[in-house]
Amino acid sequence: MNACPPESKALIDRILGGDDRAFKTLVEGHQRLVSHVVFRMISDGQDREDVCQEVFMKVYRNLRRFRFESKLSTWIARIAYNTCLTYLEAKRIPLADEETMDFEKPVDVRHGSFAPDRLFESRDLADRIKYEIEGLPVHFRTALTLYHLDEMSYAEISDIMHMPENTIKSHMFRGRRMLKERLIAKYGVEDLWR
Amino acid sequence: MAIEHLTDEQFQEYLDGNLADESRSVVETHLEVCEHCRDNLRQYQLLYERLGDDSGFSLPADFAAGVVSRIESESAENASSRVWSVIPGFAFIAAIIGTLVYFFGIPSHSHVDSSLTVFFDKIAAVTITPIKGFLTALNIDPQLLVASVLILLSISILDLALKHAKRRPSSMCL
Repeated sequence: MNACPPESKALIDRILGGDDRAFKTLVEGHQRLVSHVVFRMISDGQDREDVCQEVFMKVYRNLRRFRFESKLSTWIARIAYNTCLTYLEAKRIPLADEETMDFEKPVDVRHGSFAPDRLFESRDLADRIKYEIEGLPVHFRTALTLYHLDEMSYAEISDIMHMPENTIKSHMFRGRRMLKERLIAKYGVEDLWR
Repeated sequence: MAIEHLTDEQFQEYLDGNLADESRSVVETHLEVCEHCRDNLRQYQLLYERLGDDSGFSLPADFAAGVVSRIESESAENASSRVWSVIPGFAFIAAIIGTLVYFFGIPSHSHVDSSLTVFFDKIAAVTITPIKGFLTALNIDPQLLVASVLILLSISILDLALKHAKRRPSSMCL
């Protein structure tokens, strides 16, 4: 496990000493990471920003309890992940399970950013992939996001999502395969990968 | 004899850079001779590129300032609620002192400075005596009234203590 680097320690000391500007620096340095986790886990665009704020409020309130045993970013991502799980539970939004996924059924993105009509208008592969990612089980898309966007290791993702490394690897493997198969099934190889 | 193509797991492990030298060499040798697997690898490569696409995750430009401002207003609210939370404690102590003074009066000791005794007498004349007169006029049992006030104050202190304990964040929420 990676220990907390000295610059993060110095920043935390300044925040605990009452320096609000230091906390602003912390937010600016980690808001991208938090938005990656929150935007991937929560489809409702209106709630996303509130949840991101809630994550940083929790970070601020609990900073004294950070034990410097992991990177600050790992700790913040864990708070973001848990906050999203609490949100999904409160909204009674089920965490889709791979076993229950029907490959033929259209993806349910009622609250998502990519409405079906927009999808068909757009011929851009990036939009299609984003649309399909929203249809993956929450754990799959979170693991893929932390790996590909935040360049986290399996160990860090395992720490954030409280799952064994092998489970994380399996989620990522199945998530990518599912994405590829679903994209090909919907759009065909020729049209899709040009 | 049918060609044995690379598996999805091999493609992904190859692109993730997780294959040992020998396994990587097996994959690369196969790719040289198999167009089907080269197409498959290209599909995975494009998927990987798109999974690393960072667009669509932006928060408002003033997001960090908004968080800091929320923290500041929450801190101000907490400071104000801390002030209010000590008021029942002071009221409780004042009620006990008032009760003692009401029932036993202000002791006059020879060693107490006479100006202090005069001061307490004046305070009693302004506070205790009118209250006594008011309660007598209303025919209310002062003991019952004092007991009720003490009970209400105790309940309010207990309520504040419980609220404070609830607000304390739990490590499970992190």
